[in-house]
Amino acid sequence: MLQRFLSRSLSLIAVQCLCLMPATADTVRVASLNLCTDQLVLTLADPEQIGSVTFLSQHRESSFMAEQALKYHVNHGQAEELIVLQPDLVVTLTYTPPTTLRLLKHLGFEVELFSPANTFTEVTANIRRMATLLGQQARGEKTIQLMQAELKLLTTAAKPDGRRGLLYEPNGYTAGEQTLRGELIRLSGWRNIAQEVGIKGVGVINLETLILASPDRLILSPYAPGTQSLGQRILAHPAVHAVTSGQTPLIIPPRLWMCGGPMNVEAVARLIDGL
Amino acid sequence: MLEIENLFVTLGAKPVVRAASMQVHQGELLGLLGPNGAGKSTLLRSILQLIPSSGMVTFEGHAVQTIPLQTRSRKMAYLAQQGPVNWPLSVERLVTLGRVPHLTSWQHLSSIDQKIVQRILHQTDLWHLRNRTVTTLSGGERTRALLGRALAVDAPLLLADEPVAALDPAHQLQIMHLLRQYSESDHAVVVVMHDLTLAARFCHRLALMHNGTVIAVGTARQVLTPEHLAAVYNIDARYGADDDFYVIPWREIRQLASTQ
Amino acid sequence: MASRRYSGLISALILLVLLLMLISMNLGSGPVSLIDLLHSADAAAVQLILVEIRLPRTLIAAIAGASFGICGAVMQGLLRNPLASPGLIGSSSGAALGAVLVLYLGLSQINWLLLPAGGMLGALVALVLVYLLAGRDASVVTIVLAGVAINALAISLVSLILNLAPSPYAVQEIVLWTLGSVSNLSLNDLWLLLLPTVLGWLLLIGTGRGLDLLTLGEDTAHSMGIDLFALRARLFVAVALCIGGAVSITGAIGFIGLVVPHLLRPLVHYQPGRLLPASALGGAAMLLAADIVVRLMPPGPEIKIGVLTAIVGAPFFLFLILKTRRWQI
Repeated sequence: MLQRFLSRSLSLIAVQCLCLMPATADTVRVASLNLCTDQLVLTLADPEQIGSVTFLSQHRESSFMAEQALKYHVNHGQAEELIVLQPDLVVTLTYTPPTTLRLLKHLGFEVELFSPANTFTEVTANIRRMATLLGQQARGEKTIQLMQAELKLLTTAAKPDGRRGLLYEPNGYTAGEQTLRGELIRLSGWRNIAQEVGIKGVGVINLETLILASPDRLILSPYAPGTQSLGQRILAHPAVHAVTSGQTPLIIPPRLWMCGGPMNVEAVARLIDGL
Repeated sequence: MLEIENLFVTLGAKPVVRAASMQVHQGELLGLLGPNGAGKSTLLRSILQLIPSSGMVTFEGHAVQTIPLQTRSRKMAYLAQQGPVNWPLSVERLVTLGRVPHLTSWQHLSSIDQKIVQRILHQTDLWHLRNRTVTTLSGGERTRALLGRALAVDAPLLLADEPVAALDPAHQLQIMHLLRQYSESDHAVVVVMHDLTLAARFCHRLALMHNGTVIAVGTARQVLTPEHLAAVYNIDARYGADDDFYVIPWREIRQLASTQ
Repeated sequence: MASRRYSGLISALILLVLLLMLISMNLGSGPVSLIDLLHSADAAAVQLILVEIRLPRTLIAAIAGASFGICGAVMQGLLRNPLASPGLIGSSSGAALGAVLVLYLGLSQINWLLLPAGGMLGALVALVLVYLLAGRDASVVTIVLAGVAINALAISLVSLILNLAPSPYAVQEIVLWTLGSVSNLSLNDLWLLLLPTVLGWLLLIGTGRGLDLLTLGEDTAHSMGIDLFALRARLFVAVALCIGGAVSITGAIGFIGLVVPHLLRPLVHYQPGRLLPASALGGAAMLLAADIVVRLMPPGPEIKIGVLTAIVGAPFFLFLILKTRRWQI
């Protein structure tokens, strides 16, 4: 029920950003070179402001805004793809390869780099900054207010009982302190085992540590379900199943928390549901 | 014991052995002579079924190709021309390998096998070298060790391909003596060689090959005639017969190149 | 007397392997040892760690190591060449290619046994190719060159497939396939490894005499009752089964098949047949030891086990080349 309520309110945000706003002469046309800035742009910008987003923003598994993104020109993160487009502003995350950044600057583009949000505060800061760059401050504030209100509603309703969860990804990766996903797990009332065993940032928890830590439930976030690799095989290790006494893992779709943004609220809702 | 009749061998497109026929009898040392490329080694290899051939090769009355590999390996031993020894085995282990054809899969050497190996080590004058590795031996010692391996098979027929090439006279005499001794103890030996003098001196009979055919078989007197030597080797020889018949290759008759 | 020394060597190697297995069972990131099985507060977790994690890791390291060792001895005996080994003449990378095709294209979901089957087929194709390329009685250089070519081809195809694979994690896993790892394996992997390996080992039983006789060259061996075609085919299939099985589970761990037979050869008096069991035990010991060292390294991203075997093996390889060069000049 909580989920249904949330998805409705989130789609409200989406509808808001797509509803037509009169284009002004000084409209900033923006191109985004990263999935996370894609979704901020799609949330905050007027349609005519959006010059290009990445192809990843159209993938349902990774992008919360896949539907909206279908309407726009897509790029593959290459500087040369923007030459014809001539956007006023290029936004991307600090993950972008330095060679691409140098080339962009050499071509005379104005580039705004965003740091990946590792906390909820940073998420709101990123939204606010993107809104300002796009000249959409009012929409930015509204988005933030709505997020905070929903989050408050969710977290006060949640009853933390000290259940211990562990995000477990292919190759044994997990998210500890100072990660957005770690914070969302914590905000939802789970005790994050990654944090307990001292993993800072994104790190690997090995199988033995996992078993000794004995999580109540595993949290999975399958990025490419149905595909095969050695890294993904570790999730099927019998010991991993045995340690949670066969309890089915909690699935959080990666599109809900790979990037900071309004969709994080739904991640929290699902985490609380799975508590 | 061994009968070869009308044997043909083709290597690639080239006929190497053509209508070769001869017989080998028990108790004899048969010297197989002929110039380079006459088909001597090929003849031996086809007798051993190492290369395909057409014609008849019968051993003790059976067509060779119908004799099972295991049986054949006990009946015919082969001493390859400059056979390799790929790992530095000790002399004793090398000679012992000769007993393998007599063992079934799980059998170990019996005391009889061990006695045979010891006897051969003494016969071939390798006893004091038995713990040396083959790679550290001199040419003569190495040939003796390899011959020892072939003798250890104790096969009724031994086919030896140029065992005395590249040996000094003393070692040549020693090896020929061993082969003769072996043949006279109810075995048969076919030895491919080039040294006419040694062949005449040690072999009971000689077979002379030319262009893939056995053109003469018989005693040294019958085979090493001036006519044969001129036709086959293009040489003159000097003969002597103090007690025994002997032959010494003396000179070329004409330039070899001009015969081509 | 020689026989007694041989059984002494085999017993010593067995003891070494058992000792290393014991150490391996007691070593891990968690403070858990075998004694904890008897009295521990958290018996379930201890049992999980020992049975589901350390036992498969230990046994797989021992079995795969044994396969690499014995196949090195087989290849060296068959080709009569101290430089032949599964890693150098391309059968390991061929096996990796086969396994990678099966795993990343999702075929292993149809039946898990397809994974070792793919590895086996890849190894067999690589073996036959090298054999045909190099020819009978090939020189050291020819075989190594043929191996280099097949290796390079197989490894580039592995990376091509990993690049094209649907899984986003595939690309990073080239290291696992080219260097190998025995971490995070389960009992399921052990069963997958065991089936082809046992078949391969069974095929090798009784081939020692043939390898002994091959010391004297193919013609002499044939004259002594060895059916060369049958022997070769049997050894190729056995090596493909062992290497295919091992590589599809652990990746292409190199140099064990090169180093182990060479170190043990003098101890078995250069007899290729006796070298087989000794090399199996030696290979098991070497891989177990390497895996123990991997786990003793300071914490952090685990070093791939193939890095260690290569650090030991590559200089050894150079040493061997220098030595054979001296023989030939």
